[in-house]
Formats: sequence, C-alpha cells, structure tokens
Amino acid sequence: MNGHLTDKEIDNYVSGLASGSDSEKVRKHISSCPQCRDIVEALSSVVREERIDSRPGVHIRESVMLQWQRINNEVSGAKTPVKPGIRKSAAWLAAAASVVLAVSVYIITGVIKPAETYQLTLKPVAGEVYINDTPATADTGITAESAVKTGINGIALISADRYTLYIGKSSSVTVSENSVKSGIRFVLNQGELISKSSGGVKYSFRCGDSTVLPSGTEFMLRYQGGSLSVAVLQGKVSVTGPDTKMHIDAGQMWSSEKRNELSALDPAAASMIISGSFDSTAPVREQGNRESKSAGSEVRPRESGGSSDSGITSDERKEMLERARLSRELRQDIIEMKREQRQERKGRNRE
Amino acid sequence: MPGYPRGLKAEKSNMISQSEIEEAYDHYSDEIFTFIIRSVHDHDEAEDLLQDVFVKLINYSVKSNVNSVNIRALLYSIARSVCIDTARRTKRVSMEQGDMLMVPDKDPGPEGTFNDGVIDMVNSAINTLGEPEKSIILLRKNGLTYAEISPVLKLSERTLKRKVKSAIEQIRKKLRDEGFFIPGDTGSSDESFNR
Repeated sequence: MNGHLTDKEIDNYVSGLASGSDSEKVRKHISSCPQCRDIVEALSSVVREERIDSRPGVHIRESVMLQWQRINNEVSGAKTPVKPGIRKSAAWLAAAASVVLAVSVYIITGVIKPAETYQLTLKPVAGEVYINDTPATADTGITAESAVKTGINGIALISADRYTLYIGKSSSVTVSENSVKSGIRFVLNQGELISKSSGGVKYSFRCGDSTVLPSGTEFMLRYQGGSLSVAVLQGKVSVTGPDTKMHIDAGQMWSSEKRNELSALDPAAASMIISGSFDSTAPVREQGNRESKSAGSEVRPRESGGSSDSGITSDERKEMLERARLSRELRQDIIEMKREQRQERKGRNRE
Repeated sequence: MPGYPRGLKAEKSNMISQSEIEEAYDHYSDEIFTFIIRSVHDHDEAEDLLQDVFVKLINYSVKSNVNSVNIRALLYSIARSVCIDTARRTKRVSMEQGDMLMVPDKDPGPEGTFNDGVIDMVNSAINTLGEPEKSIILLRKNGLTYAEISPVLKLSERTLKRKVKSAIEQIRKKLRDEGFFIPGDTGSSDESFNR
C-alpha cells in the first residue's frame, strides 16, 4: 500500500469522529501496514477500557453508612420546628442520635451469638484495684453492675474474647450492662481508658451525659473533671452528647473543651494506645491546652503559622484539607509503627 | 446541577434512604474507586476520597433529587471534582516544597518493544492533559461509553469526541517530541526513519 494514514485520519478514527466509510478505510490500511497499526494501537490505548483490580476496604462502607446516619440525624433534627429553646432541641437531637446509632449498631452487629452475656474478667496489673469496693484478686469474673476502681498507682485490665479494656490510675468504671444482644455498656465515671477490640464484641461507653460509640477500634478515653477527651488510633468513634455529635476518625483527637474541633492524634497518645500503658503524662490534655493557648478561636495546623487572613471560607477549607492530609500522613506512620510492633511481638512469641 | 425548587426543600426532605445508599455503594463503589485511583494513584488516598464522594452524594440528596437514573452520573461528577481538587492541592503542596512530582523517564527500549514504550509514554502524557480532556479519557479507561460520559460532564457526545481528538493530537505531539516514529507525519521528516 502506498503512503500512510494521515494524522487527521488516525485522530478521527481513534476519537470516534470518523464516519463509517472512513473507519473502514483505516481498518483496511492498518491490517496491512504494521507501522500505522502501531501508532493507531498506541493512540487507541488512550481511550480503551483498562481494568484495575483494586477494591476499597470494607471499612469504607461502614464509614459511609455512619456518615449517612449522622446526616440523617441532622436532617431529621432540622425538620422539627426550631424554637428559642435550643437546649431542648439539642437534647432531642442527641436522644434521637443515640437511638438511631444504637439501633444501627444493633443491626450491623446483631448476629446470633451463642452466649447470653460476654465473659468478662478483671486482671489487676499494678497498684490498688477494687471491685465493688473490695480488693480484686487475679482473674475475677465481672458481672453487670460491677464497679471497678483503681488507686493512684492502680492499673487493671478487663478482658473478653478479642477485647481488652485497659484502666488507668485513679479511675472508676462501672459495667452497667452486659448482654450479647445489646452489648457491653461501660460507664466511665472518672479516669482514663484504652480500648482495644479485634471485632466480635459489641460495646459502648457512657461518660457523664455523652455516649461514646466505637466501631472496631483502638482508642483512648479520658474523663476528668467533667471534661472528656477521645484519641483514636484505629477505626472510628462517635461521641454523642446533649450538644455534641462528633465522629472521630483514626489519627484524630477530640476534647469536649473544644467540642467542634478535631486535632491530629498526638504521637505520645498514639504510642500509649499501641502499648496499652498510661506512661506518658496526660498527652490528650496537653494537646487540648496547647490548642486553647493558640491565638484566636481557630486551631491552625502547626505548619501554617504565619497566615493571618481568617474568616475566609476558602482559606478555612484549604486548612481543613491540609489538616486532613497531615492526619493521613500520621495515620500512615502509626500503621507502620504498629506493623513493627506486631513483628516484634511475633518474634518474642517464637522465643 | 439541577436544583430542587426551593419551596419543596422545607416541606419534604428527599434524602436518600439507608437501603438506597447501601445499594448505591454496593453497585458503584468499585467502579468509582477505580476511577479515583486512576487519578490519585494511591490506594489509601483513593479510599478517603471514595468516602468523600459518597458523603457528598448523601448531602446532595438532601437538597436535590437523586434517583436510580442519575445516581451513577452524579457519583462520577462528584468523584471527578473531588479528584481535580485533590490534584490541584497536591500540585500546590509539592510546588511549595520544591519537589515537583517526577514523571519517570520512560525508556522506549529496544525496537521489539515499540508499543510498550509508546504506551508508557502515552500514559504519562495523559497526566499532562488539561480538563475536561483528562477526565474524558479517564472515564473512557474506566469503561464508560461516550453516551455515559455525556451526563457526567454535561457535554454532548460530539463535543466529547472532538475533545478526545484534540487530546490525541496533543499526545501525538508529545510522542513526536520524544522522537517516536509516527508514520504519515510530515512534521517528523527530520527524525530517523530507519526503524
């Protein structure tokens, strides 16, 4: 065949603009001209379907559904006539939120369980540990309505199958409910907790008038002097209170003192959750204090200290995105750290 | 986006139901996810963005009508804008830090792998395209027909094809600049023909 296809002929063919007869001409030509076939092939690859075998993790589905509930709560809350009594409507909103969340958790995890209650055991680790005001011995069984208290240097563990709750010093925790059907309900009256779940156990926390609802997570709770802090390492935690509704993702921290803001997870808090120890001195609070000291009411990410043009929504948006990026990076660091720890543990077990 | 008449909003919320969002997720999350990953090239980030897309859809459904007819196009529209936002941000961040994203230098390789080299080149050329050309091509790669892309980008099929043609022209120019042999291309007369 003499001559090659022109640019125009190829472009029209590849983009689908060519008429039937023009396309036929191109097809005929490339069947006998390997050079033109190569270039038509290469350019056609631009618009050809290309499979990617990547799938999102199942936790994304859960998060989306949680978000649906949150938005649904907001929307149904907004639909009720709003009267001057804001507190009243907020309380109603919170009640509705907790009902919806409780129901949804029931639906999500409401699979048939063999036992009626979860088998909970208390292990005193250090210092004074009391159960119902009597000193606890090793591996004490815990029933509903048991109250666990730790002294100034006390540390204890409550564990169930695939679930561990670390109780820090000077803390008071009550198991207000324990049934497989509706889950374990812990009441944190005072102190600090680290909760680690590897799935299977349904549980929630009550701190003052707030409900903390986790979904498959590792996180830390601190409730002192009426102020609640939550630091999440893995999974997701929702906090619902009379005028609070927050979703705290992995790599984020939240404190009731700044109830509408989320901050990046403090590395100290992260390492505390990973190790399940309360060694560091109150990093969650420290973080909160540092924030409240920073100028203005807005929390700025540490990097962008200089900018002073506040009140511009697009700027706020950029900032939020930036913060999200930072927390994503932190999350990756944490995942890396956890992987190392896992390997270390494996090595130790082998020995 | 076609908005709902304002009067209706207060009386009745059209928000997508739980079963509808579950169904939408189960149906479309995989393909939306692959579309996002084509743009951001990072699994974790694509997961975050996928979540954003569905949350935005839920929010959108509060004010506007989402139904089985428009939901797929809506998801793609949202995914596209989310990806463009992210790309813009990444570009800004990397420029601020002074380390531009490096496009790896693809070696066209020996003569036998002509097409492999060209296809690599073509793929990196796609990343340099402007909008909406890049989106059209990524949607095509995700398996959408022109008819399906049309409602996503609000462009007619004919316009889409013309945009693709201009993208193809740009890619061809890139290939020529890189010294690839293009038959019938008079502009490359100074290039080596002795392949």
